[in-house]
Amino acid sequence: MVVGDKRRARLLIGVRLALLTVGAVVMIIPFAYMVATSFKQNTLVLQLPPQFIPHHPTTANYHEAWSSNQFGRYFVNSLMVAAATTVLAVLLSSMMAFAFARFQFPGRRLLFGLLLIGLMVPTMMLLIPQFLLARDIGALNSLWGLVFFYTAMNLALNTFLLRSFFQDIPRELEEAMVVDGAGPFARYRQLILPLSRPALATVAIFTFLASWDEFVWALTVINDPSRRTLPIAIALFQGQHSTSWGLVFAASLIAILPVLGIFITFQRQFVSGIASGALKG
Amino acid sequence: MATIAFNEVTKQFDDGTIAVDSLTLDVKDGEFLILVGPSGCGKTTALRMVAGLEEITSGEIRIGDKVVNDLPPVERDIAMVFQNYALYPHMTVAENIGFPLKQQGVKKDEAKQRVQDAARLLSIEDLLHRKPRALSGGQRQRVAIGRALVRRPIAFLMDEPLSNLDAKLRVQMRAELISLHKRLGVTTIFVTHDQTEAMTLGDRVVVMNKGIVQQVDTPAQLYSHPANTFVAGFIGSPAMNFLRGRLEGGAVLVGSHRVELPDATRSAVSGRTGDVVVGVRPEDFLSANGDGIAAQVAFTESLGPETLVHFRSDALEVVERREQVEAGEEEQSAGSLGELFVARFGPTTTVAADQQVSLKISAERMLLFDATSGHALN
Ligand SMILES: Nc1ncnc2c1ncn2[C@@H]1O[C@H](COP(=O)(O)OP(=O)(O)OP(=O)(O)O)[C@@H](O)[C@H]1O
Ligand SMILES: [Mg+2]
Repeated sequence: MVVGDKRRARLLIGVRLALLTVGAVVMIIPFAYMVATSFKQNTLVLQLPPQFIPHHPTTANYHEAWSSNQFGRYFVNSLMVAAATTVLAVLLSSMMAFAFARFQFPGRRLLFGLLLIGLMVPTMMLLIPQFLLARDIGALNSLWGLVFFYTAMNLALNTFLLRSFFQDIPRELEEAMVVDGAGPFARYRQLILPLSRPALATVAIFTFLASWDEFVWALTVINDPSRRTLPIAIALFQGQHSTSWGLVFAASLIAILPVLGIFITFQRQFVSGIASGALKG
Repeated sequence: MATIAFNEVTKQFDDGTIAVDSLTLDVKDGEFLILVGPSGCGKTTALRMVAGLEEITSGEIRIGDKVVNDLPPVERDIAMVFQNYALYPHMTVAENIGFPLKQQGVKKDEAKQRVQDAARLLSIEDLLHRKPRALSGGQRQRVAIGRALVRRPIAFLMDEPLSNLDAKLRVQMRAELISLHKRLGVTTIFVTHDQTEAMTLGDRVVVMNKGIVQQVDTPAQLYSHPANTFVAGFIGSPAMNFLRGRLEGGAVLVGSHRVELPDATRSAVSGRTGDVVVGVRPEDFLSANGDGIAAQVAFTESLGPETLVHFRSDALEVVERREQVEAGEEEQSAGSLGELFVARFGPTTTVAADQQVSLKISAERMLLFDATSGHALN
């Protein structure tokens, strides 16, 4: 490499680092402030200038958040709903994606088109029709009802993402399995799923996040206080306690833990080049 | 075990490409049949139709006495080695080889034993726990063969299974495959684009070009009695020399050189006159004592047991084969490099570059082809 090139490369790296730093700071400061506030006494929350390291840190907010208003129960509700939704949505959408990616059947394009339209309609517009539907099938005010609708809400995007991933799996591998005597289900389980772990992990994370955070639909269909999910519970903190921000932030941070857990669990699946070595060249 | 019969089988792809053109061929029970031809001639497509991976546009394929046109691959009980291996990347070598057995519900112990046996045969026992990405091309190819061998299918389809092995391993694997075939007696269709491999392996060889079968014969017959100029030029290395000639009253004029036809040839061409293509294998140029074709040696290649003598001659006129011109194919062999011809001499020859030599053509072994159709006349 020529000397001038080296200097230029270094300059470029410097610029890149600077930009990344700015971006990271913008992203991190609110979060850091949120963490700091959750450890402050309520009276000190709105102090100016803002403190990033509390002078008298306390975990009181966490105790209070966890013990008030059946918070633990809401946490468990949310966890169950999000987990069940994730499992169901990933299972169903991967099967649908497999069908769309690799099988010829009448109406294939039409069905896929309908699925894409589902992606384009804003959730808010569907609220009332969905509510009527939920009422008619008796899915109001029930956690399983939530799971049912959350699964439906996630199918379109998941199927879309997985289909394009499945399409990139070399057809020859599947043909080899066909010749080796594997039927469609064996191919799905023993070839498509294992080779798509990165995509499945991505889709699982999306689905978990979406159903863990979902607010509007849960607020609409859940009346029974014991069946509330976390987003509703956290929202309720704001009214009831004349918004003690320390409490809200502590509750929110508790709510982040499972999401972190999911990320850490699935990120191991993001191994690159999982399909290398399959074909010549 | 079973026979495989193609009856007027044609495959046309959606884009209009005719990959296989009314192929009619009977593979006998237990036969080791070779399918050979240049790249793109439809070998893979033919195999895929037997395996059931490609629909048949018209015609009929029978395995045993059953028409399989609409039978799904699973029900055909055929094992295939794919041209690009198609190993399952997330499985170890052992799992790859054992996969068909697992699908058949073979018991674990027995499956393990059979995987071991196949691995030993292919010298990949040490690799059983590895994933395909940690294997060399040749090792991958052997795993792919192993995956076909563990089964006891009614037929093997092998699509260039030895193409990625080094020369020594390839010779060794050829021998293994032959002895394996002797032992198991399973009907096998073996695809290759390497004519040497075709000549050494098969009982019968099918030569294809552009989806059309050119000749089905034993290696010896293909070499000595090719059906047309394509087969003549494709089989044999270095390739046959093609010279412009004229049939005239019981003799053929090659340039200014006159070759009297032997009786057999004379009766075969039966009074025909006019332009022909004369095919001369490199070993069928013999040295003459001054009264033959005057030739100037361009260069020689000493290959140990033989020496190839490339020469040019004003007395001879080269005929470009049509296929060659169309394919823009020039690497074929030195025999067709521009105006150069090639002769095969013994190892002790003293002929050297820039020397003048005198050659004659072996009348008994010379081949005559129709100048327009390329069909063999004798
Ligand atoms: N799916 C397809 N769609 C259209 N044309 C195809 C398709 N598959 C193969 N072909 C064409 O059919 C012809 C035969 O292909 P095939 O793969 O059978 O050749 P081959 O003899 O196996 O060649 P090679 O020695 O290079 O493997 C080629 O012209 C190829 O381009
Ligand atoms: Mg091929």
